[in-house]
Amino acid sequence: MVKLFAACVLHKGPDNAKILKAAYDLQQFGFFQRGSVQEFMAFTSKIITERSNECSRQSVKEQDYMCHVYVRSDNLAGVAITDHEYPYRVAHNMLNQVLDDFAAKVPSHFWPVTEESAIPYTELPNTLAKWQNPREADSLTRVQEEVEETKIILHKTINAVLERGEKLDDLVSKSENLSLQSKTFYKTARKTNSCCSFG
Amino acid sequence: MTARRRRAGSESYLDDTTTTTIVPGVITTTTTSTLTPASQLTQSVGVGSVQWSSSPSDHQAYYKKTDRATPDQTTLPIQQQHPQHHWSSHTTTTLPLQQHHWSSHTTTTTQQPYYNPQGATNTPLQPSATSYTPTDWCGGLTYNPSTSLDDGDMASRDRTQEYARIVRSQQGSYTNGTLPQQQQQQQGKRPRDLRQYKDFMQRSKLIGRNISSTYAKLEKLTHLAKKRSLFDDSSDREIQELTGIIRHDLTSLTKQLGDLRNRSRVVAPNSNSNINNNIAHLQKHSSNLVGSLQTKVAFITQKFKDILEVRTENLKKQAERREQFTGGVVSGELPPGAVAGHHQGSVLLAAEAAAESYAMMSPSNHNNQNTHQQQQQQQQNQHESGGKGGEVAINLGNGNAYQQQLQLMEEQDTYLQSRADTMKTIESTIVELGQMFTQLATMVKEQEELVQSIGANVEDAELNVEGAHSELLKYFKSVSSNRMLMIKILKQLVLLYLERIVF
Repeated sequence: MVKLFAACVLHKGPDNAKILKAAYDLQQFGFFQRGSVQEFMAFTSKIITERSNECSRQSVKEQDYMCHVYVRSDNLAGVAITDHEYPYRVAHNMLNQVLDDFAAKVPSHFWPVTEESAIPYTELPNTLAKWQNPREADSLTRVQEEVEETKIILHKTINAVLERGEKLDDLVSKSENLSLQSKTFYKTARKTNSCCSFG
Repeated sequence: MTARRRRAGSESYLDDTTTTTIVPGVITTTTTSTLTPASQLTQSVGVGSVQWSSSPSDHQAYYKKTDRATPDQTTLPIQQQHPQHHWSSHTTTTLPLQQHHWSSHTTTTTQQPYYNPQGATNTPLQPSATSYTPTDWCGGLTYNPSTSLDDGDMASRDRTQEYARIVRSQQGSYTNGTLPQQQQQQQGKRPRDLRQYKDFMQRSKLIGRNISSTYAKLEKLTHLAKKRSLFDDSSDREIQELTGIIRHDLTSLTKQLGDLRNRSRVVAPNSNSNINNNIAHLQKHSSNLVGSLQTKVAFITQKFKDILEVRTENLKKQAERREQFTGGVVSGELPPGAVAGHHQGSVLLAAEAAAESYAMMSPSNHNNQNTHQQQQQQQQNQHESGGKGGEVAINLGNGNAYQQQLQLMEEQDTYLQSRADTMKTIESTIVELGQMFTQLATMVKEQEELVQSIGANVEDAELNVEGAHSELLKYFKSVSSNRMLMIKILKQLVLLYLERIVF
């Protein structure tokens, strides 16, 4: 089951990374674990961003989770923590989108400076929810699935057409029979008529 | 072609000399008698020049005679003839001539040892664009003096008898006043000179062959280098190898040429004044030959350098283009490779090529040097960039910027690559869908025929049934109407009968 646990936007400073915005979806963790899991995720994101270079994407496997990180050239970084099944491409797609959106909404001079709560970007939880289902959110995945669906439907159609063909064959033979018999019937009737009358 | 012309020219020259005794004033009968080969050389040098400037009628006769190709020449390997055509502007066409020269050696050594040296000494004259003595074609060439053939005719007739006769007659005419002593002296010295000369000619022939092969390789390299300007394959190695081979060939050629030049100088003039002319001409000829070979080698080197320049330019352009597309920030959602119709086949190759270009640009600025190094580096890079996985260890910031860039390319590539793959799958699925639709349409079309036949059958049946129905109606009517009549008639009859019985 593909699951997206967290998405963070960070700013990668020269020596450390700062979380600018983060959203977590920790439904499946027990209530008491959520706090620590959240902390852990934030910490991991920071560390990973610090260790990554500019203009790089990476995907790190860590225990049960996959950490996808994308650092842009303007030192804005996005981290997505997912389970193993979440497709790599979709995660990076999401990061791209989120970062672009963020960069558009929040001017760049905010990034190194302001605190997390002060940044006016509120769509992260929505994005997270949206991207929980990669099929809908990522257009490529959606297209792929639809195309495959269409393919299945086409397979069924072709099968149906084959059956239709068989039935048509049946019908042809039956109609031939019918026409022959009707012909015989006609001939007989004519013979009866043309022969000497009743008597 | 030129060789043939020259040979023909020499024959015509011979005819002229025998008939008209066109002899430059320099050469006396005695000298000609004693130095027949050399004299013929000089004569050919002198008269040949005269002949070249003579009336066009000579040239015409000349050309007509050249039309007859010799079987030996036509059977020459094309490659050897090809450089001839290339270098027809140059004067050296020693390759086929030397072959004939050698055939002359092999065939005539037993018969006419005296003429061998003539052949040996005279064939090199050909490059110097002079006419030749008839000894050129002892053995191999056959030749038709008839002047009625056109350019395309390659028939050859055996004229060795005629040739031998002419040679004998000429020799006889020249040796009328010979002093036998000098002749013997000359003969004594000649074998050694001629051996040296033979050596010389062998080497120049080898050099000529090498030159032609190098030229062929150069052409191939040109072709490859120009082709690469559109897209980049990883077979740059071929170019590198070819470049290395050509360079090696060129160095060996220059070395051989230097060697040859030294040897030609070693053919030192003998003290005998009588043969000084001969030796001088020999030397002059050999120096001419060496000079022409050198010009050829220089020409090849020049072309080689041009090609290498072209190639470096192409590579630079490619590197620029790659930087445009794959370097720097990845902007937008779709990778430029997916959107912009990347000029290379796949982004993967772009990464590899970028790695190559980085390798080539940074370590060595010029392609001319360190080809081997470059090859090694390229292989290394390709190995590095070849390993692509979705999961890469965290890059701990190596000091090597180049490797970092490599890994950058690699990682971005993974993402871009996966997108590209998805697009490809989608595209292929859609194509499949298209095919399936076509199949569907075909099947339906075929079934349409069946349906039509069913319709026809049913209509037939309907017609028949209608007809039968009407028949039955008629019959019924007739049957029913008859009965009425019959009943009436019967009634009448019965009444009549009853009446008859009663009465």
